[in-house]
Amino acid sequence: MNGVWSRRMTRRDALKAMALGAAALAYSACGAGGGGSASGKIRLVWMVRNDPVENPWERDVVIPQFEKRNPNISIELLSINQDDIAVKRQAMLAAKEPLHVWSPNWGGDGFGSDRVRGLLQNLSPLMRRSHFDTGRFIPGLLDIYSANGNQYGIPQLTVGSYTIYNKKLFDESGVDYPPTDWDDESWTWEKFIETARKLTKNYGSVDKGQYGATVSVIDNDLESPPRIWGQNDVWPKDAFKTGFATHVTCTDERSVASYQAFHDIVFKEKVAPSPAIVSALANLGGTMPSGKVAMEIQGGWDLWVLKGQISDPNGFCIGIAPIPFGAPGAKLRSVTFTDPWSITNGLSERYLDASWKLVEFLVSPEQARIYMEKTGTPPAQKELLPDYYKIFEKCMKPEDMKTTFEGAFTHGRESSNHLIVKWDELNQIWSNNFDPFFSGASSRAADMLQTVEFQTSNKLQEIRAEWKPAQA
Amino acid sequence: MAVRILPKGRLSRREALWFWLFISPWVFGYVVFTLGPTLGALYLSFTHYDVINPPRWVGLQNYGILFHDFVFWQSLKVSAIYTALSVPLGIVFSLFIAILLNQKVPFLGVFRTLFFLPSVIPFVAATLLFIWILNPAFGIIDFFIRAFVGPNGLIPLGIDGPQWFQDPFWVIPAFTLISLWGFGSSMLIYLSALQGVPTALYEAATIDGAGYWKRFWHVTLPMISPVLLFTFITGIIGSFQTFTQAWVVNGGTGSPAYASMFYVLYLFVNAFRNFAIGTAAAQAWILFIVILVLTILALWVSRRYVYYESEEGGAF
Amino acid sequence: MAELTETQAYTGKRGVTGLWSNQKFQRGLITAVATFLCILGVVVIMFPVAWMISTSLKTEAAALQFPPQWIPKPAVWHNYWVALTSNPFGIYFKNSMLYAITVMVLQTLSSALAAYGFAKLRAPGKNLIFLFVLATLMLPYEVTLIPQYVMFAKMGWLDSYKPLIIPQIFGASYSIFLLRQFMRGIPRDYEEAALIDGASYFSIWWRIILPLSMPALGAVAIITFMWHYNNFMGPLLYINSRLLYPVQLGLQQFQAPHGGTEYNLLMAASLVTILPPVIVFYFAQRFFIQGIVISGVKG
Repeated sequence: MNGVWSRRMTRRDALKAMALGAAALAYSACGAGGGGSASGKIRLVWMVRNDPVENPWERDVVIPQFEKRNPNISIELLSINQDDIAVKRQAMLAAKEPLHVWSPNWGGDGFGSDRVRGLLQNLSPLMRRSHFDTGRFIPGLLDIYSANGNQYGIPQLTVGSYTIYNKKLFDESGVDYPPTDWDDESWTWEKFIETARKLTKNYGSVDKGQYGATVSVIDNDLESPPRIWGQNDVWPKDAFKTGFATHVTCTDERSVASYQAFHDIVFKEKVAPSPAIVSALANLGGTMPSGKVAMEIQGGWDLWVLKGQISDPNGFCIGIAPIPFGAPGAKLRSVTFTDPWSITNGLSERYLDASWKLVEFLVSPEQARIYMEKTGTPPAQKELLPDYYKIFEKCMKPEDMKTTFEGAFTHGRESSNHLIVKWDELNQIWSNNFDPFFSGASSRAADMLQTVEFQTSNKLQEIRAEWKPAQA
Repeated sequence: MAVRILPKGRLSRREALWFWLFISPWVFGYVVFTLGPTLGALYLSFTHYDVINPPRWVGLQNYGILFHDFVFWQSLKVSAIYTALSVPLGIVFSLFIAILLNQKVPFLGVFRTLFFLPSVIPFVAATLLFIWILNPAFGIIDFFIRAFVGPNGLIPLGIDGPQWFQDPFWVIPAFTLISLWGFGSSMLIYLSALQGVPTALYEAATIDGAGYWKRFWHVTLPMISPVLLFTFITGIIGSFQTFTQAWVVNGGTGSPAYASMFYVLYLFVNAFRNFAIGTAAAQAWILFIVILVLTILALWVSRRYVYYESEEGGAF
Repeated sequence: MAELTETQAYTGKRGVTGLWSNQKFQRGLITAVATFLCILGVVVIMFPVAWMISTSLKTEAAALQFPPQWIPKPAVWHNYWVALTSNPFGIYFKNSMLYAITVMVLQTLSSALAAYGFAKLRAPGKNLIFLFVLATLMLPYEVTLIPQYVMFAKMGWLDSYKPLIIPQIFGASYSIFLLRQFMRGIPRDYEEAALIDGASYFSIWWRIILPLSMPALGAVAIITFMWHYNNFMGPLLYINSRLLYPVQLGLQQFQAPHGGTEYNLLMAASLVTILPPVIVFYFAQRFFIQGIVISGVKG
């Protein structure tokens, strides 16, 4: 791994360095693209996130196998904390440092922003050329990362949001498990609260408290609670496709009801832990992992975080259930999270070909299977799903798992986090309004949402004015 | 004060030449490695720059945007309050510990090492520890508050511990506590300054009958005042630039209700999350001016209070 | 000198009799109180450290347990083995030490050079230049981060310690300022005498100023070392190859998104990595802080 850098000009005389130092910025503005030499081995830079579970797959499986199969390509792996990826990537891009394959949703500002900034390669021509089999992906997934008929990312993993529950606590209290079918209309919000009430013990006690449920705005997506109440128009219709919007709508009756219900579950129903307790549990590693919460409405990443609990003798079994109906007829209640691989735009043909080879390799059925088995993350490909369900066999019948897991895709939409341009700026508004709202016993959803709607819409217009022209 | 017995003129020119020789390494390093990027940052503050596309000149627009941005003003306020709170507390606290460790305490070396230990713990890990310590549910501080004055405590006043990082009022005190945890380097500086105070001065004062306090006020403080000025100024600079702790705690949102939106946190978010490098650069230069004014003010005021053995050092 | 003459003019109230005015008693009392406060302080400081130790000995499930246990049952000493062998920490440690020690030695020396210039030598425009030195501290580094990265990329210095070490060896404003403050406390008489004897300014710096500044140099050296040993942002940007990682990047390998961070291993590795600097400090402080009583200013 050391040798690959030796091709660089390492020694220049001090004077030259001095001149360069002062002129560096001018260079950066009109620097040379691409990177890498014209002949010899191709060196691909592949950026991933730090993760003790994922990294061994990347380092010990993908790289040796890929390099063996493609002797003229070597891969340099950059593994960085998800929170710190933004800094590193911005700096690398500014300096036109080689960076080839990466995921726009790992760190940075998400797919929507990167696409609009022109950072992502259109993969459609490459897919056509290599007769890429799109039929093996879960229906709808590829479409998330396409715009104007062009494909900009190939999904690696995907997961929906669910009511994740701790079976041990259900068994101890003799409470029936929630249903598995997303269309089972008996699974109402009232039923959810009622179930939670039976599972709540010693409410408020720091060390003995057990909580029936906890809910939070999933991934801080403004639209996630209103969806449960059947309000699907928080964002204008084409917002997720274009990445832009001029406004959000969240002061309607259903949105207000949804946020109020999320608030009431703590302060009125008293079946959910207070924000202080939630943060206490989260600081230690998570609400569900603590074993003190019976149900949580959350993104499905607990499936792989909690995988260890299943095999731990002191652990517990987890189950997944649909998210309850806040209002009758609310179909799209799940938020889905799909992470794709993308290629940097503007590479030379050789590097583009090599990068595509790597992406194809990463999402090949063979590698996707190894990734799934090694990490416990849910696959994006249909034929792997039955084997994925088997991982949880000890806790859930595979056919039940199938109903609930796949139902999340037919009953959900991708997170705005990945699709709306400059989502982080909106998130800043939401966090700063949500936090005081959810920790104040007497705060009212209607007031909070009024502010949020106003501030978000303003920000969206600002973003649109600044970034929309750049799209042409 | 030593009387100058050497002739002026040629000698002072020689002295000036030596001055430049002595500072030449720094000048070289500055010109080669810092000047370019600094000018670059200045240029960027007048541009729209998103890293992908070349910078586009926009004049003073970035500064104008900030002027109308309430989060910007909020961030300035947060950092100013934090500085006003953490710098004086930090100085008093670390000076106190330095004086403690300057006494004839048994196992002094061990104590000094243990007191230095917190500064060795990496920043990120230390912040994580404080998130635990200040946890309202199981954190040790709130545990003691509950045990003494909580609803079921020794004196049942029904007072619960603060919510620290969740409460807009308590979040800055929480960060101040983290800053106190890093007292090690100032403690070290004071310790070495205290060692430099000539023992003869103490002996003289003692013979004159000065008690402990008198000696502290009239010998110790004046003798270490140059170093106090140093920690004061670098403390202001450092606390205005607080970033890492806030980043670890709130991931850049400045939540709750922007109460922990530190100035440089917002700058960082603008630069690396919002691709507004130009705006971030403008923020940096505004902060630069603020700190520069504060520093010059501090230096100017200090001329009356700081005692220097030799007067050749300069105007301040 | 105003303050000092005041001190010397001060006359104590010798009339007060009894235990409180007894010098020996006073000194003993101060030592006793100081010792008590030291122990108290150590207890407070040790709380977080004890937490680190406790977490480092837990199983992954126990680390997540609520309410957290102070004494882990069973204590998993194996965590230390796992944490230190899952990543090549020996290499990381060597990298960190080489980086931090090189910068420490060279930066302390070059800063001492500049500090002497600013503290003792007279030259036109000196105040302005000194303000310039301070000014370099005032611009948040976050904003020069990208231009600097671009510059080092153009120079071909990426993925090496060059951008982390070379710019640092010409002196740091922080250290220059601190050393200047100390050196101004050294009486001029020594230099005057040496100058009359025909010594050059350089030999004055080397023979007189540096030895007299030992405690300050020690403090600066330790602070510089710690800063670079704990530097995270620099290595994050400039180091790519895993075998070149310093300890701080190595520790990041335990982090994971969505609450998958292995806190027990992270704390185990953190504890091990803070040990070497602590041991070094224990021995160094004897040399620097206590050593100066011998070499120290004799007034």
